[in-house]
Amino acid sequence: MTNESMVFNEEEVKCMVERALKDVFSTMLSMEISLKECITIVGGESARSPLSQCDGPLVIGNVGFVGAVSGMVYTAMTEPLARRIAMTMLGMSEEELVEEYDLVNDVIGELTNMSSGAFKNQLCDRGFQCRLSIPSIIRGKYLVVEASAAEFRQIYVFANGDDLLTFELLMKNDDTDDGHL
Amino acid sequence: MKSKILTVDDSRTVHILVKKAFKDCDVQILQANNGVEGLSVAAKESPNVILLDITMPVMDGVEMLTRLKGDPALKQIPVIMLTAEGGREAVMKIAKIGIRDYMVKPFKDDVLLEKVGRVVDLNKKIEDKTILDKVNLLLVEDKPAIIDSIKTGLSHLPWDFVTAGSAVEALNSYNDNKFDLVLMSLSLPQDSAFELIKQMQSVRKKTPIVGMVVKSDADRQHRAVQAGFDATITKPLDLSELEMRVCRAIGIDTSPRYFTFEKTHMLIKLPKEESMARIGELRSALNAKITESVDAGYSRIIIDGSGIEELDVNLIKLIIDITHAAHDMSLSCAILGNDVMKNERGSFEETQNWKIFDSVEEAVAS
Repeated sequence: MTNESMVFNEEEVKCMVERALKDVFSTMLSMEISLKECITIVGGESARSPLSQCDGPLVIGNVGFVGAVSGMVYTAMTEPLARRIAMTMLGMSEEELVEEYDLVNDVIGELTNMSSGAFKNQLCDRGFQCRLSIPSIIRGKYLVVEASAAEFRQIYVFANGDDLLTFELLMKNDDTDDGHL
Repeated sequence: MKSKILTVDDSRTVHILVKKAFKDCDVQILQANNGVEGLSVAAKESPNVILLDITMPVMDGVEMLTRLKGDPALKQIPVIMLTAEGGREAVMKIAKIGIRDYMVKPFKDDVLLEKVGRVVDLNKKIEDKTILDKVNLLLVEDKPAIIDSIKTGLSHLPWDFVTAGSAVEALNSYNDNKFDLVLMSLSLPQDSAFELIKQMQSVRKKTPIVGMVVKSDADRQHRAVQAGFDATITKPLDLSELEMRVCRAIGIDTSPRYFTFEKTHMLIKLPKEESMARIGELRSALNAKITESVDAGYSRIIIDGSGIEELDVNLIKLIIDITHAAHDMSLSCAILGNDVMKNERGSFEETQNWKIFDSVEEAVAS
């Protein structure tokens, strides 16, 4: 299985992802991000996050979508970037967020929700109805996703200054679900 | 009455963002984490508008919306969807159930305020003003001498006056500008003040309107109360009293006139002139300021009487009350005075033993 068996080509998906992430970051955070790299994962091979060489644990948001096209999104970033994003979005200081791990998780979960929504809404507008799942958060050092059923898999690496974040997208066609709410 | 906005979302982040967006509005924000809680809060609080997410645990937004519209007691509550679900078909399907508007995340505060503002009254919060802040006043008076007397008498304050000599002129000014208060003579020709206040209140209800009325004119004083004037003041005008009434009507904090927090102590400056209005003002803020000084870690108060012109019984009572209030909170107290105080303290039993210092440094060092 390769990315070519999907209904969209890689270039189209890359544009949709870039548009979605830039929209969310500029609207909610007034932050500019730029797409640095697209990593294609072929077949069912497992792939370690490009951020695994960073010091410290990662904060990873995860949302699924199901419908005519189904998939999973993982947004990963370092803990300091996650805190900076939380401070910016909520207008809170570093001191106010010191013990608030759950709140930082919630912010990244909501950011992942908005980013995935902004992406998958573009699929819906092209006739591929799908709906989002509830986001979840993982914290850890090494993220390895094994997904044998994915027909499309790419990791998009974005940068804001020296900080990196990744948007990993796995998708497959699914004719059995009409994707309606 | 404050508008109530209910936000139904499983994300604490969204609750914080919504609260932040409406921070300058005089509204009450209610929160629920899923559709079940949302229905319960809606039934209990009767919000004026609901901001509703779709993807939530326990009960999602579509089900909550369907149940809301099926409940005769709740179906009239306007709903604005606030969700990451934004495909055209999803929007149309939900719109058919009955919503007022649909917002797709991410969202900007001003868009949220604009959409909610179309549904409910979002009164801006009245900012707290102090006696040191600029105030814009509309003075409606057809007697030039009274206008001059007011402007001159209150010239020590950072207050800007726009004057109008007739009801028509006043209404035009009122429509074109925003004022903190309207000061209006009730002796305008043809009793036009009472029609004028009605017209002003239909434009902007929240601006306080104070009436000026001749002391002997009980009928107009009574009519002023009926017509909805926030306060009246009698002519001939006592300008200190006028100042106090205006401050009270606007909610101006006059305490900075008397209380300052220095490096080592709180300084309480006594009013120069013997005026019950001024003494009353100081007294009304005293306990709160003493508490504030204790909370801020101060251990000393200095009463500054260096500007007083006469030590009379009312000032003496005030000083005694200040020292007692300070003593109750274990604050030490010293009196800074002048020759008037030193010469006159012997005249009263309560003041004979007062130690009066010539300078702040001496008072602090004592």
